[in-house]
Amino acid sequence: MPFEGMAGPDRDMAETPTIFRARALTKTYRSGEVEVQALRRVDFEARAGEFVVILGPSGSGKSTFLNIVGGLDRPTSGEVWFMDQELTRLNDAGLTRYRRDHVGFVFQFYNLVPSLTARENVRLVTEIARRPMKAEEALAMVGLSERMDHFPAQLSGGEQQRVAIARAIAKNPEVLLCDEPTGALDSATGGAGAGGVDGGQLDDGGDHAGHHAQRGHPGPRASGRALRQRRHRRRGGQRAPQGSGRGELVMRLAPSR
Amino acid sequence: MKLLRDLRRLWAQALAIALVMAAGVATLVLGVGAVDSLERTRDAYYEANRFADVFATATRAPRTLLPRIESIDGVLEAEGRIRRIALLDMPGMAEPGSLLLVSLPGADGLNRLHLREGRLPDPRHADEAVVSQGFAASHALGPGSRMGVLMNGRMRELRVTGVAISPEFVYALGPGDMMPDPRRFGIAWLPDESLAAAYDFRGAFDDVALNLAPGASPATVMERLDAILAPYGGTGATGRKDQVSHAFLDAELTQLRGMSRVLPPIFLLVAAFLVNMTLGRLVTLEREQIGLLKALGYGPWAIARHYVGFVLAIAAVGILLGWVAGAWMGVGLARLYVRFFDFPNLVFSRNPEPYAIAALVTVGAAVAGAIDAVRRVAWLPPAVAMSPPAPVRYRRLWGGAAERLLRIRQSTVMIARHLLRWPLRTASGVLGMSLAVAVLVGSLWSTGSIEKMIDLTFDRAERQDAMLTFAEPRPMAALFDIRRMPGVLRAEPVRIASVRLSHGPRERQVALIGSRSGDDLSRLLDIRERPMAPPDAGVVLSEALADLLGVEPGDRVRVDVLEGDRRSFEMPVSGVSLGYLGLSAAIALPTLNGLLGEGPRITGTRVQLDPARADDFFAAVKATPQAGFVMLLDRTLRRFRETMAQNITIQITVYLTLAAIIAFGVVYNFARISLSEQGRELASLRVLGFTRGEVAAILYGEIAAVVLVAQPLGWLIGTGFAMAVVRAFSSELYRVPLVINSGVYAVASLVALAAALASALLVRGRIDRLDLIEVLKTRE
Repeated sequence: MPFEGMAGPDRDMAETPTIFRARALTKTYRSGEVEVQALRRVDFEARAGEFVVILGPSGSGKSTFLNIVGGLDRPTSGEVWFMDQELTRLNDAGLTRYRRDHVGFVFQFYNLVPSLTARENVRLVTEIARRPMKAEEALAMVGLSERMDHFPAQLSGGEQQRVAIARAIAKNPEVLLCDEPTGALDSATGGAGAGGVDGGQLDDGGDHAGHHAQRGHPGPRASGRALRQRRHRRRGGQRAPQGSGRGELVMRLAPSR
Repeated sequence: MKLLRDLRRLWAQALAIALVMAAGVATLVLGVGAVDSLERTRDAYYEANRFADVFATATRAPRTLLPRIESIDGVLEAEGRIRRIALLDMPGMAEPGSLLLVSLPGADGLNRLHLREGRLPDPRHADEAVVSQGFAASHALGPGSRMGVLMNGRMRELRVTGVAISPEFVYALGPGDMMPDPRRFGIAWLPDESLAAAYDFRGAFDDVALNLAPGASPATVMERLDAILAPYGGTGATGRKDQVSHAFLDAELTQLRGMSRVLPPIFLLVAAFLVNMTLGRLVTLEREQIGLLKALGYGPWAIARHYVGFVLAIAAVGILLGWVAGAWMGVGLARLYVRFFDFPNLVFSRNPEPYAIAALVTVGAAVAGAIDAVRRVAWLPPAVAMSPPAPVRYRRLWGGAAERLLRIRQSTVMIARHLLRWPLRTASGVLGMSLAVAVLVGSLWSTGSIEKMIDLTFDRAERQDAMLTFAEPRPMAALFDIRRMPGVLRAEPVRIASVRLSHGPRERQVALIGSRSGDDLSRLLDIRERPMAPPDAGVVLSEALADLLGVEPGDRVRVDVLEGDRRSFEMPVSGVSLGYLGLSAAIALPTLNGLLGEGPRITGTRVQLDPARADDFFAAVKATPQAGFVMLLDRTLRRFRETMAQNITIQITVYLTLAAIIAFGVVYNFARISLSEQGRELASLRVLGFTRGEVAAILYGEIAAVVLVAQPLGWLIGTGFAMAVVRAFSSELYRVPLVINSGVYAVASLVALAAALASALLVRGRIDRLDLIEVLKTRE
């Protein structure tokens, strides 16, 4: 089990290698005359085994940050390092390679392939991964062994999310990135899904509480560091939060192998 | 407003559909327009120049017979003429050509000339003549030019006073020729008196043209006419239907009608498929909007009107493009016709009817394609329409057994399931693509078939270099004169008799060709393409003739000889031979001589020439008084190939373009729709680490499956087209063997694949630009 015995936030940070390092990350969107700064000089660091939660109101740049770290987008300026690789220097093929070999994504809306069954959706990724686990194994981890041959349309929202999680963990990625993983999750199934990500949920949201005990070990909590990072950015001149919708953004770092 | 926005957004797909429609409109305008132009021009020309209804020849008949002919019921006028073939001697032309000399029609007579240049000959000057246009052009003749003609054994110089065309020679085919060759064959009209003097025909004629009263039966008239002319060597009358020039024009019209019946429906069918596919996707995407509009009080008809309007806008573009292309190609076709057919003025039809028909049919096809897609959405209750459609249900193939068994990759499973999920659309794509292949197979085969025809006719059956036909039957000894001519390596005798063959009520007038059984310059081929000797007893009929008479080997046919003392006899059909040009019947020479009750007489010789001394031979022929005309097989073949090559290049370019338009339209729309449906999934795969190539491969895999399945189907449909074309083209003038060699299938598929590839590459940019970030933020 790749997720057993991973480092919690209470482990000695100094000894674990740095997985992500971002310096002065800035992202500016331009639409016509209007210039919108989504990120302004963000510094960030995350180490192996960390479990990082980024919190912020909608429009505060969480997704932009995740997209850059996940190799989907490029910053306007600044640099991002994944271990000893500078992501900001990679071309499109390099970023694709990086996503394929190192990153597991859980999408907000699951983005399952409707023409493939749960098992096939997971296989789709394991077929191109370097060190995958078996699709059945990944689905068992999220408690979907019984419904592996169902199509997404035959699964509930929660079950679909668990398939998405299984798909993300099945390739044994170094990093697991989840964008608003509870955004569309019903609380009844949320626990089972979180079992797979090993605490990929927040208890400060209120309605997702009580899942840590499931796997019998203390679940990691949102890293204080990440929150500080977040606060740092806010202090760094991020524009005022818009709207009241508060989103979560979970970023979980597994130990490097 | 929304209509314009939709069009702008989907312009490429709309344009692809419009192009397919345009191809349909253009072929319809072209086909119907060409038939219309040709028919109108022909009918006007025939009427203005009083083209005769019935023609007959005799050896020599007194002019006093004409009133008797005119008194036949239904005959309005009879014009006796002298019609003789003469050898030409043109400077700068080594090979002998022939000139058909015809009495100048009277001022208000039949088959009047249409003078292009100069004036008509003056009857007081015996050496004046008007020549046919094509001949004049090939030899740069004009009023005042002179030329040497071997008339009745004497070389005479004729003075050209004018250049003309005649309704009788719209398609001017020389004796023994397969294609008009204006260099080697021309017509000269001389005053009747001049010809009568030259051929010693005073008070006589050897050819008669009749004009019938409206409603008169040509068959009855011809029967009576044959009876009158029989004592004077009448060889049987022909109606307009069998008049060579008219028959070739008719064959062309049949071919054009066939084209305008086959091609446009293909394009319109494909266009209807494409409209259906594209609109189906559009209304699915706009389902919620439609629901909203309906909730706001718009009725289903208002919604339907919008989408039908969208389709009509596409159709309008297609119709306009098609009109322009059709008119433009029409001008080209008219120009092409001018090369073959001598009309006073052939203008491509400006008749609005074909344009209107094409527009109407296209609108019909477009609306038919739209109905189903619009009906699905416009009549949904607003609440249902506004909620997202039920998720698409996919199924595993035989409970997943197929996937497991084949151990295919998941991306392949995606392709297979997506294709099978929309079986109708997939089938439309396959059918559309296969029609592109079929259009090519159905047109490209002709090259191979013509080669086959040439090989059989010229390399294996007719192997002589020249065929010399005497003006009159001559004794066998004439053969030795020919053998002594310079350059002649071999000479073999031929006796040709004009006969009428009948079997029950079916009858045909044909040339009965007698050859010696040991000779092999010209060989009969059986239907398995093996040479066979002319039988001692019985007659061998060409396949077409046997079919027409409805006889098989062993049946007996009645033979009425139309010359000499007009004997009649019955004989068995001893075999059927292969033959693509005209109708023919073969018999052993001694048998024929015996049946005709004459000694060993011949009407011509087949000659094998020493190529180095061919010119000497030609010069000797020109100096031979008894020579009637010479047919040169090599020259005929060359001319045939040249003409075919020109035509086929044009034809192939047109068909390639048309097929490419279909293939492009089908694949482009198919790819765009598929991309629109699966864009979200493909972008998700990119996020998951699939490369651009891998993602594109999924979409291309789908296209490839459709295109590949379409190939054999296209070959099959195309072969069907080719068979239909062969059947439609088969006439008494020629038959076409159906030979489709594997190259045809290969080229058809390659062209279709190339067009498919081009449209697939156009979509590639869109695959590469899939928005990876948007896909994370939006719900489907």
